[in-house]
Amino acid sequence: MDSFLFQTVGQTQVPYIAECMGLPLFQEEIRGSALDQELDYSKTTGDETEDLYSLIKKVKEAHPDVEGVSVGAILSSYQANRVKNVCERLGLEVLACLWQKDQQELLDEMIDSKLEAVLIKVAGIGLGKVDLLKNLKQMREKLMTLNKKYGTHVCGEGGEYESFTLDCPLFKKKIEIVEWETIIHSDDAFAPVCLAKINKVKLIEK
Amino acid sequence: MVNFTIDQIRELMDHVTNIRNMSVIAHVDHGKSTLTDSLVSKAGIISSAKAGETRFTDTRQDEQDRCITIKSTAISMYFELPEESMGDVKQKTDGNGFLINLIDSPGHVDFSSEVTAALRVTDGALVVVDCISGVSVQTETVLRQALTEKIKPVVIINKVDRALLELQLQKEDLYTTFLRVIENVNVIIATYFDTTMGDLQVAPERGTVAFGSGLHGWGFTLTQFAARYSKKFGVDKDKMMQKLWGENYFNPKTKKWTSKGSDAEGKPLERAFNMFILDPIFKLFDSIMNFRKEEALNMLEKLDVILKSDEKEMEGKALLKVAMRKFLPAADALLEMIVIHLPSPLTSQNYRAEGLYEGPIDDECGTAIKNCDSNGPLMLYISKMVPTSDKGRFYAFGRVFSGTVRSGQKVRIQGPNYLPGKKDDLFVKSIQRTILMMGRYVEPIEDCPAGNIIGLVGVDQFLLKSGTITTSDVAHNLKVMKFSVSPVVQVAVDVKNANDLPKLVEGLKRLSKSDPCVQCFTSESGEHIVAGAGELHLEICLKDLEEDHAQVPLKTGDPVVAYRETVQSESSIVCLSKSPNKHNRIFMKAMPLDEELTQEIEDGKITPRDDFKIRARDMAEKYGWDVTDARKIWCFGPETTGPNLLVDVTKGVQYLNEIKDSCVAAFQWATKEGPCAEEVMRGVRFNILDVTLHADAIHRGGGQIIPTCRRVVYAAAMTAIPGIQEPVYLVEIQCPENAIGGIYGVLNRRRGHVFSEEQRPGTPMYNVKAYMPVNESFGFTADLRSNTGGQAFPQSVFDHWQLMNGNPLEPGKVQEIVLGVRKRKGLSLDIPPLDRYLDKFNSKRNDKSQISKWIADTEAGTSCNWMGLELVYPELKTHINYVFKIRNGTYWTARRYAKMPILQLAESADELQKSFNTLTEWCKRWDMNVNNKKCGIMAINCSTDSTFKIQNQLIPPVKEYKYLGIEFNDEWNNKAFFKAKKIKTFKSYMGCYSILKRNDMPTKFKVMVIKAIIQAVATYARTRAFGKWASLRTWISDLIKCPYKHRCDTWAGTSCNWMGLELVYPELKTHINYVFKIRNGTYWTARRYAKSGFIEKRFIEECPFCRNIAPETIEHILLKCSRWQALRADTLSNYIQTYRLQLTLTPKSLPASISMRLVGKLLGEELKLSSTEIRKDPNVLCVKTTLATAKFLNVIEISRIIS
Repeated sequence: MDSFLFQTVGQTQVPYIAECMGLPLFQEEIRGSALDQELDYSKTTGDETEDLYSLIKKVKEAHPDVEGVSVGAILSSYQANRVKNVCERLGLEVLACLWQKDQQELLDEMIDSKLEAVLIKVAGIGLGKVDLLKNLKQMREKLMTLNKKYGTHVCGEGGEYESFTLDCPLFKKKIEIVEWETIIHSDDAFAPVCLAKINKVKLIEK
Repeated sequence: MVNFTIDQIRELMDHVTNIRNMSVIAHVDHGKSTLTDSLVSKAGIISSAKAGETRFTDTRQDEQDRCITIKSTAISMYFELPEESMGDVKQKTDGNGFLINLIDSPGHVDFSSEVTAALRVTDGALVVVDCISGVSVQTETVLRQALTEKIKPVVIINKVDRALLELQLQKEDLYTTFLRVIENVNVIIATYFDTTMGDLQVAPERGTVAFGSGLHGWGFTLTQFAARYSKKFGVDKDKMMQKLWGENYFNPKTKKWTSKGSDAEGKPLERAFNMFILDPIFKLFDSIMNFRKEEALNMLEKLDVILKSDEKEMEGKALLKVAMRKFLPAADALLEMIVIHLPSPLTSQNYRAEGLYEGPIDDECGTAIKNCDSNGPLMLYISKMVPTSDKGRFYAFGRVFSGTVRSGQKVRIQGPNYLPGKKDDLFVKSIQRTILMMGRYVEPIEDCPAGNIIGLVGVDQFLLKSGTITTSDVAHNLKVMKFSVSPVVQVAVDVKNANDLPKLVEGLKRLSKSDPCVQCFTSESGEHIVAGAGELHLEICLKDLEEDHAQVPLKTGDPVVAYRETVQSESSIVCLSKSPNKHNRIFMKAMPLDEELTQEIEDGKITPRDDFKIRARDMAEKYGWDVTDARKIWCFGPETTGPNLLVDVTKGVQYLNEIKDSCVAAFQWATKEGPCAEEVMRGVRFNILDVTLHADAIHRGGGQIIPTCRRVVYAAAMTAIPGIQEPVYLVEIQCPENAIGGIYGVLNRRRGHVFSEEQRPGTPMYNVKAYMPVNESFGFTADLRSNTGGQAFPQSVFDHWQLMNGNPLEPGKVQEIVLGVRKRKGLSLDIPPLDRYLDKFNSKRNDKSQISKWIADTEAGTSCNWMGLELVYPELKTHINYVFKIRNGTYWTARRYAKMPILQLAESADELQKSFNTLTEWCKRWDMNVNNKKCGIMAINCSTDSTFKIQNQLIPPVKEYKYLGIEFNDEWNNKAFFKAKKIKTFKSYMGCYSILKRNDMPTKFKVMVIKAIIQAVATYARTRAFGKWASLRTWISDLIKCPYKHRCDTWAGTSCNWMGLELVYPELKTHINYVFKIRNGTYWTARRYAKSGFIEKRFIEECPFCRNIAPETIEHILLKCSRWQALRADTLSNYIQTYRLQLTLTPKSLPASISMRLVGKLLGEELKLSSTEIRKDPNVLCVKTTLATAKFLNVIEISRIIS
């Protein structure tokens, strides 16, 4: 599914992340699609942003003490605007700590802070199925070269890749991928889209 | 001994008027190097006895061995012209010492890039023509090259001795041979008529044609003989020259000149040329060769030729050589011709400057070049690299066009890709040394002023092959040379010992530097490829590579030919490729370019650097391009200059410019490596039909767009019947008659075809011309020789690209070739299938809504037919119509008029009811009720009996209707109403009204008038102006707080008078008016266009009004406005143009009486509507008004709803 707003690859494994972090998980099916594709969002029935709205509304009802929503957007105003819109409507703060950060610095910071994230979807020039399940440290050099050559965003902000976090300082447990398979979504010349379908993971106590 | 010193030369260098830079050009084996020898010997560099045999300028061993010039060689010489000849020099001179910088160039076609490099640095050319073989193919090529570079030619007809000794031609025959050669040369010159250079035709009677023998070292022009005879006849020398050529006869009996070929008694007379010039030569030849020595010696004495005693002992040819050389020294004749008739740098740069300099001719550097100013900024063009004795280092060889170059001088070295103001391809370095090129030696020299040819040490590392050296920071480049040959033959090289690979790589770099034309690159499979102009060129390059540059044993593959990929028809479908993240889409089609257009691009007649407006006009006139399309050529490719075009034919796509760079990059890449065999593409036009982009810039970066664009280019090419073009040689073969059969045999086996076969008049030789694929040419020369007993000599020159019959996607010969190339390149053995490049169209609901949304956004409110959209997207016709209906019925109309009266216009009763139905539905969705008491149906020029319903309520027909304060009646005649309202806005309604009541107007047009003008003005400008402002009692106080800003913020439609502002500020009346005018032109248009995506959003930010600044004074705001207006004018006019031409349907012509000016005024100054223009082209009104207004409505309407 090609959502404009959400990462859909690896969503089956999200409960494990919740478990690792020791936080409650709220999920909702994406029913809408990207109807309003303008940069600024205004309420549109049937848009996927409305699904986010109802989800966060649910969260707020369950935990009335929630004050804000953290969003990892770095440069995507499209995504940030939508989260902002939803939050404004619900009276919540938006926390976009990474906003406008230099991507190369950020990548290095992530690597240095022992954040272990692997690529589970690639969709950009120069990336292929060999890059799946490689972690950021392994990819760093390649991403930097691609950035120089084609202006690829090293943090995958333009949708070049999607990642799945296995371990980070916030995690209480660590995820290990036990079983996975490669799915070639579209075998296009120059920039094939490949996914790693994770079938089985296990959690390891830290 | 060398009869001049370097100091003498250096001194002369400052006298620009006494410098002659010249190259010697000709067909192969016509005797250039041999002839050059006589000049070199005159300068004392080689002994005169050896002249003609040494070939001093053939410096390389292989040149000597093969008796062929491979590299052009320069030599500087000092001469003194005899005082008596000085009078003939028509240019400005300074003393009788002359510096001649001579460049001997190769004649073989494979090396014609060397000729190009030589021509660039010289001003004149000595064209050598063999009197027996005449003007040959390469003579023509180099002569044309010279003329395009604005080089003045003079001619020498060489090898006259052969005509006499071998062919035993008679005098009259020889004369006609000469005449024919001169005519042939003049025919070529005539096609390059250039007024700035003056008359270029060569003529013996003007002294621009010499005759002689390089081998024997003799030669003459009519000048020498004229000088001799003018004393004898007592006639002026110039007059004598005239008499000595052409239809001039001398009657020895009457001692009178006549122009008739016979005397009074009908006896034939001898032509003056034959009698006075050829006769002594013939007699001398005759007596010496027949060993009548006494007679010969007598004659020589009479001719004032003094032989030394040992020379008198000689016999036969040796004596002939000495005698002729003393009688008519070739060097003197040539020298005189060169000095008198070739231009000095001062003369020639005056007319060459414009063609040489890329920048404006009136800037600092341009002026200096034009004046050949030694004190101006340095402008030096490096045309080639000459290997030094020091391996791996090169002298940069070039010409100083202005300024003075010195050893140790700090200069800017600008490569061919340098652009002023940028830092690409630019180095600032010091020149180590400057040197004088002296054929086999070099001489160091301290400095070198403008107009001279010079070698530089220490800049070779910074330039690949050629470039500009300057001291000025603002200098543009000197124009890059255009080679007449292209590297079509390739060969893969590899080292025998793997250890030597680094040496090979280094060697290839050096090889690439040392030859202007050779190309060295690495193929994708890792092979090192050397590409050259022909077999011989390649052979020499490889030899150099092995022996000099790499110095390691090499193995070479079979030579292979470069192909070109093209397309044979228009793409069968609109190709779509999605970006990897699926959020961006590019739609494209490919189609073939005209062959002539392709060639003009390749010849550099149409270039990406041309002014786009002029180029567009030319392309429209010559090749039937749409002017708008031609203006929107994004780029040429590959290498940004190639013969493929990327054209933006999209309409109103948002953010399009942001992805332009990515698309251009992808296009360069894709056209360099085509879809079938990764060969260079040629002659294809790619139209970007539409682009949908993610709204957020981060999701449409290069990483997403480059692969998408490259894929869609491939998809477009593959759906347009791809084709393969192979290079074809023009082969010229000279042979005797009995060898012709053999030639045909060989050519037939090699897929060649003869298209011309003619006998060279006066000789038993035949001249055969044929086309032959380069692919078949390997070993052709050897094959031909063996089949003709060594009697045929071919010259092959690349001529054109020829489409091969067949489609590489279908099995056949073409596919075999393609697969062969793929195999050689180490690519996958199959051509990748189309679906690797093409994405499914309409596979998702989103796809539909995207393109439709766009279409609907362009022109909402009317049916799509008249917009011609269905022509652009025929496959979407029903779809488009569907979208329009929906949009008409619900979204657009309903939303627009949600809070105000609705005016629904329809063409038929059915249509009207349909739109009512959708309106009904819509009302339901939005919980609204239509007030049917206020509804009415009124017909425009028609009547209807149908009943119409909205929300099940009947709508009655009415005779009169008041809409937005204007009274309409079905007679369309309420002039009284308009007369009563003496307000400007209403006057414009009147203009519209007059359109409505005319019977000769198409209904559609009337509908448009109502929608575009009445609705627009009535709804927004008027309601706001009258309704809001008038009802607010506080507006004056508002204005006074921040007067200028508020005055600008009022919704002024026209002049400010009606607002009464001028009463409040009478002293500012004119200013206020002015502000309003500008405001109309800028604020409105800008905002409505920018907001709708019609122009880029940044214009909103840049507009001083939109930025919400409060200007301090009227002057301040005017200044802001005018700056901004200029900034934007270009962009805007482009958009208007585009939209204007979208319309294909032409309504009936409008009569002159309609005051369209009024309508135009109404829509703002920016649109510049004039009634004449509208009368001429009725589309103007429709498109401009509707567009402007529809966009404007769109913007306002949406913002209203949201707020």
